[in-house]
Amino acid sequence: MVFADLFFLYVFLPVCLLFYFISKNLTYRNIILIVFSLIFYAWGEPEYIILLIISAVVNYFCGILTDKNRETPKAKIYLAIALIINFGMLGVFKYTGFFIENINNWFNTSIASPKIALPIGISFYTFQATSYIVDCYWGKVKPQRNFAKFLMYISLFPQLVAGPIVRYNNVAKAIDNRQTTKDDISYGATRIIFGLAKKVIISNNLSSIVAVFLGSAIEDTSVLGAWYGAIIFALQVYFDFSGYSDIAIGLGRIFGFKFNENFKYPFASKTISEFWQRWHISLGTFFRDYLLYIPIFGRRLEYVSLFLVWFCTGFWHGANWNFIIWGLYFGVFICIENLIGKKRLRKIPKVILHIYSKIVLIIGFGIFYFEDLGQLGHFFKSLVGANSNVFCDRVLTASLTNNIVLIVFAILFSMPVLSKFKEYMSKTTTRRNILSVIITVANIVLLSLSSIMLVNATNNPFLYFRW
Amino acid sequence: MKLFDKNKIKKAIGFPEPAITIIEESETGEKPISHKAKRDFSDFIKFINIAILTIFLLTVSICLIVMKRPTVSYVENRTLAKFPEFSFASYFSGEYTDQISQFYNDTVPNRDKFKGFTSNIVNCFGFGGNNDNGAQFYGNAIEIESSSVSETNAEATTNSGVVTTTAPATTTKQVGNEIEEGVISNGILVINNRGLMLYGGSYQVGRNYASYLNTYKLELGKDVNIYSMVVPTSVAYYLPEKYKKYSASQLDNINNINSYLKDVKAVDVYSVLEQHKDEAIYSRTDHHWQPLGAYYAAQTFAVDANVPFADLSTYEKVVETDYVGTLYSFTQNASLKNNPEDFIYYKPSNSYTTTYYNTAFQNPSVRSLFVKAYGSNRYCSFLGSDQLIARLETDVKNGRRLVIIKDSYGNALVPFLTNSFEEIYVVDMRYFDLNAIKFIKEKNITDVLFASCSFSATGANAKCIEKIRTK
Repeated sequence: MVFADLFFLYVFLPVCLLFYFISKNLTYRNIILIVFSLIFYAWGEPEYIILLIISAVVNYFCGILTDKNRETPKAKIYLAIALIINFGMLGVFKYTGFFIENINNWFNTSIASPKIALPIGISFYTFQATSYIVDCYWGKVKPQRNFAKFLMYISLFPQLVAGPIVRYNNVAKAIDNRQTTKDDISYGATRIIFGLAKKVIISNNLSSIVAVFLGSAIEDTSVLGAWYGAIIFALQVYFDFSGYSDIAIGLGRIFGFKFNENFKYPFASKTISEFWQRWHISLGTFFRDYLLYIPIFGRRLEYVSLFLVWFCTGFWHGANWNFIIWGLYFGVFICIENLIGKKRLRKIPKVILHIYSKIVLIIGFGIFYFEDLGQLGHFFKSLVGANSNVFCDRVLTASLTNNIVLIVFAILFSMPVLSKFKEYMSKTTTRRNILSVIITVANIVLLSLSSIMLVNATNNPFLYFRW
Repeated sequence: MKLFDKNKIKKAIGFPEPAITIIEESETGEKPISHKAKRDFSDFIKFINIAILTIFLLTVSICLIVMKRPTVSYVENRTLAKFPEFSFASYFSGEYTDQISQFYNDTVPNRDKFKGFTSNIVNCFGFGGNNDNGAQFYGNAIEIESSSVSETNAEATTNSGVVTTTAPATTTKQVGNEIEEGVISNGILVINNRGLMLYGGSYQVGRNYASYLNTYKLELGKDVNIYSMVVPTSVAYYLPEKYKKYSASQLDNINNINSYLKDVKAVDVYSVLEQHKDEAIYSRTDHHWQPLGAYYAAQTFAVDANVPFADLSTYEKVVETDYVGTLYSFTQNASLKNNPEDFIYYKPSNSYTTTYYNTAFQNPSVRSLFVKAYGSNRYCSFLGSDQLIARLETDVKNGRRLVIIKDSYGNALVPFLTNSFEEIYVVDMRYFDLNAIKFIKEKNITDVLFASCSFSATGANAKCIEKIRTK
């Protein structure tokens, strides 16, 4: 199941909330969350729920066993078992097809590629489980001895499908003891609705623009059209992904969990390093905290580990070469920024930094878009005008005139405009009163608009015409 | 375990300690209230917020469950998703639950109204007006390099420089990569409240089309007259000058076809329709023409075939208002939706009977030529469907028997030919299970009319003509 869906909003969610709030008993509430999380997961893929449960069982026992055998070699063995199973699952279910395809390409073999559908959320929950087991090994967290509670942590539906990657120590207390206040519900609901609006009103409509410019016509896209398409795509991904994170954080809050922020206005960054501190934060911190501890590289090879991290970041996003290129591409710029050094970077005028980082990001999102490397080549050619396409055409001007309001709002909301406004409005009592009225009205308007636009989501007219 | 300074590495990797101060989004902090300050209602308003949202959520949830759900969408011209039947296999594959969601999302009460509402919201995203500047493109519109017929030789190129092989498959790039029967488009342009399907064209496919018709002539001999009527689509006449680059010349493509025809009579409807382009001969919101356009085309054909022809005044005129056709279904464009048109068709006054058969010419059933059609589907007001063969027996006694091998454009011609032929067989080039030559000979046919729009004649449908000849 996905969040931006009428069935989720008007069937699953109300029923879940109803069951959750009829009792204050924490055990009851935990059970309800587990049951609904499993239903949520099984709605799309009943078979793969077994993977989720295996992952929970393995990490649950290994967590306890590493703790019991602390400071002995056995602890390492249990850690290794859990890690092998976690990454083994990820490898088999996410990357098998990719590896076989490449082996076939390189060695001219024809190994049949098993048709494995990517289990929903596997990239997220295996990372959560990994963070848990490593933290147990390091003694950073006390292992959870109650299996139900651990299963709840792994399967909690708000963050199950698309993150954020929630650390166990962030929610450990809440799992054992949590309350939902009126403020939590009001804040959570607002967060959900704003996230929904980001996804349905902004991102979905931007995606249809992207299809025109970067879709199958990429070979013929004008120079400006290629830039425009990539900019719109960057905005689309931001509103899609951060919208989902907002919904996850909002849902979590309603159930009494405080997840960390996953996005902090990434497009306001001046450098690429800064961008990655603001974009998909839970993934960046995961790699920072876990991958870098692997002592396989000496100090001299710190740049090797840098590229390892960015290789992994890229590869995590998808089993395809363009994602690897995409990750390494960012690695290169972060490497350059490090070589220049923070102090010297600060001396460069802000305007230049912004222009530099935006150009790098726009091209980066282009790489992210094209899974077909041939198409990616056409995209690069279009960007610099290396093909004979025109500089600007009527398709672009028509698209701009017809979507300018949407695009301006998208750019505006991708900057910390709303949070600045909120800050300003929180300064006096009168302003606070006005702000809460504005939020209340905005909620109902945005929820209605998003719901109506979701009716259109199943629009399925004949995609081609029959004469 | 640490072999190196982790902080240093962190910086190197690109994750320095957070330099940004995080705006605390939590609203749980206590706010100091001084005595002079006005009362803080924000807590109370939060309560109101929760109350309103709860009521809203519950009301909509209940409405969506108890209200009657539609089963078809006339706007989209399709049956909506149905509630699935349970089976363990479909459950474990995830299909069952998936279909429940689909059913729920697809059959929202008042669906078509909500969709119209969405079109109006989307319309607010920009400043496209109802003039030449208010153009909106859908699908992949690309500029077409002009090339005239004379420039193209043996292996003709399509526009945009794509060389087609002898396979009569595509012209230019398609929307998506699906190339199926009848698919050929270069995107849609909505301008001046009119949807225009941009035309790609293909001289090579057109030439193949001509050769297929020539083969029919060879096999049927001199006793059977063969006609080729390639109808241009509306983009030929209503595309503003500054967008001309996005659509190939239909006149050039039709002339190209005609130049290859041997002993096949080309019916020139291009210039006839051009003379009448200020009348409502094409739908603005649909990809078909209007019956009035077909009337002028049929008239031209009747002259070429030397058969009698009844004037439009002898027909009974039927006007269906508030017609919004397929181009709206496809584009969801508000200017099409908010400017519906009339669908006007004409019923002949002479007497005739219509018998329908399946695509193998079996299961005859006598019904009216005209059927009630709804929503975007009004073009099906005559003949009802492309997937039937129709046979009309009229009160005309002139010994002329006609087979129309057509795409859906040909349907509109039929009512205007009931005064011209004794017998008319209407066969869709895509849906015919018999050998066309045998069929034509068996029925003692005197005239064969190939009637289709330019998209079919220079697109994938052209092949069908050859396919049914050799079945």
